[in-house]
Amino acid sequence: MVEAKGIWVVAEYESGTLAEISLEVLSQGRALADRVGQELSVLVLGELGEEAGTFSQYGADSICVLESPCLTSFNAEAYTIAIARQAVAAPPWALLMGATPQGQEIAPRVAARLRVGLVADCVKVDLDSQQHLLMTRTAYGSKVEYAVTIPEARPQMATIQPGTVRAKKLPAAKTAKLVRQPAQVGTEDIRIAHLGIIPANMKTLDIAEAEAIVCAGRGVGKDQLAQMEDLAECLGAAVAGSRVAVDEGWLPWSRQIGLTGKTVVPRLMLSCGISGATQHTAGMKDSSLIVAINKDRGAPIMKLADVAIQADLRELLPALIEELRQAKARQESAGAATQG
Amino acid sequence: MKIVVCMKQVVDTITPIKLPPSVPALPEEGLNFVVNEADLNALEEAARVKDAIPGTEVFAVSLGPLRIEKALRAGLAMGSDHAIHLWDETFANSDALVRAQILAKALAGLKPDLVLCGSRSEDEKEGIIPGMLAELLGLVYISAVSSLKISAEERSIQAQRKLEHGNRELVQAPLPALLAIEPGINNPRFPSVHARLRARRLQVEHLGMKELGLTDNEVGKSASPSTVVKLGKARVRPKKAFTMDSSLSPEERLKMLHSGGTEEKKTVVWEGTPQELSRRLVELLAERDMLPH
Repeated sequence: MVEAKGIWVVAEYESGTLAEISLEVLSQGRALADRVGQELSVLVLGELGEEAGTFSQYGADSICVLESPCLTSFNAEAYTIAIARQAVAAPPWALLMGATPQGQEIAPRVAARLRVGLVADCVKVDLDSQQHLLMTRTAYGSKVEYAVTIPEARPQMATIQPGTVRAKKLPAAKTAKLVRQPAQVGTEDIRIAHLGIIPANMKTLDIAEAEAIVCAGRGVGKDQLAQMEDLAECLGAAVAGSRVAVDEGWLPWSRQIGLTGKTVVPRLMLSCGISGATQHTAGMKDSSLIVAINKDRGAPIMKLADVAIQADLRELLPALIEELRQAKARQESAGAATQG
Repeated sequence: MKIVVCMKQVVDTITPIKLPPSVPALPEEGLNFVVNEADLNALEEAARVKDAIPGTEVFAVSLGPLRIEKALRAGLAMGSDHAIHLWDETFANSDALVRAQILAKALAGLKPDLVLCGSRSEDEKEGIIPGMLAELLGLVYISAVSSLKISAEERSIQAQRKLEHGNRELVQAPLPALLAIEPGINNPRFPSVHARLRARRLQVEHLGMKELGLTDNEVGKSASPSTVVKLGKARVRPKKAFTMDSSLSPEERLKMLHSGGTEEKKTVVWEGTPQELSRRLVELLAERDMLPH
């Protein structure tokens, strides 16, 4: 029986560029590899671009490129089969991926093919007293935390949550060994036809999926709703509202944020004319950036926000929309200039 | 058309959870169990296919202890024709792979055209059994499904998948297939009184070790590659340090770096003319890559 060795990290790409999560997982792999004395390999499915140097900088001992015409871009079936067959041929000690939609899709399938254990969405990966991976994740609304080990089955598989490991460059320069191999996957393995992508329509998108939200409260008023929609369009955002906005009939209940509405975690939450009652903030407090605009400096939301703008919406909204339009025009003319 | 809907009960996370002193497993007393939300959406999709394609049979299948029967009856009330309860004492403490293998054994016998699972359970949120089950059964696997359309004559399925940024991907695949259904994609029908009464009368089929042809070394803790070694209250984890806000003073920025970016947030208050404020805000958004491209 072939001894399992090496820690493999599957590289993930977003529109052709290396995703940040790959460097995070690679750094986690490096930390583990140093402690257990295993070699750290990055698995690249498809083509290797200029990121070879980056992999070296972040600690890879080797880069294994699996080549195949089926791997020109991410394909869950092709990735699953290529990785699984590679792992059967030369079983690694551990196989790590990011807990991203890509990782979440292929990790369970690879684990089932290999009949091994998988711990998904790890917030921490450590070693236990036996030098086995000790993988921690949370459950039950994040109230409970538990640690899992996979004592015998190899590879030990884990997907790691983005943002839980800091990507770390090595202090000293090193060049990772480069290995190219044909991937063991062919067109006969691909059964799903990808017909195309339907882009999001901000006007109809569920607010829980929106990455940017413009939220209207009592301070907005019915006559400024159209401006809120303009603002949302300029920001590529969805329009939502507090309970007041919905009760007043300005917005449908599907756009309500709060305890009796939806909970959202957008990157950008622009709260306009919202006082910040806890019933509302419960539904948006985990947004990455909260910008609140309110006439009243003492409104509760002004303490919750990252940026609290004290201003009159009637004056600020038109000015903001104008500024956004000008910024876009500048961006477009700059783009056109470079194309000339 | 034969459809299997895999159902699961989840711990209602609103109720307080009592944590065990040492045994790494959650004791069930005092916990409130409800049907997993995405499973209800899966049942609704199955019911819609049944409405559209005459002669469709829907099986609600669930793996778990006796309390699971309540969930299966909910499945029957929502239009399932049969309910199958998989359980034996020896199944306890099985990890995800073993649970998927038990489900695979049950489903292999049924030979379904379509298997629907909720994408994730609301309590543990692992979301790994659907993918594992698909591989074990050799089924085409489509994840993150937000809508589906079956063509019975062509034995194929078209589905929309949820991508990031609210985008959707359109895919087509041959049957048989296993789909992981996203929660909230439809409005699960409210069972009529008639449906509920019917659900009470129908028999739930119980399958254990013997019926599934399983041996002791295929189930339970000893068969599971993963093992839970520690379980307790979640520690507060500091948020990742976000990119430096240039409006903060150098001391404040250093403090943020040293503290590793903790949960504690310092609100920055802006004042000025509407034009000044607008310019400043647009600058901040550009810095944070929050302007549309």
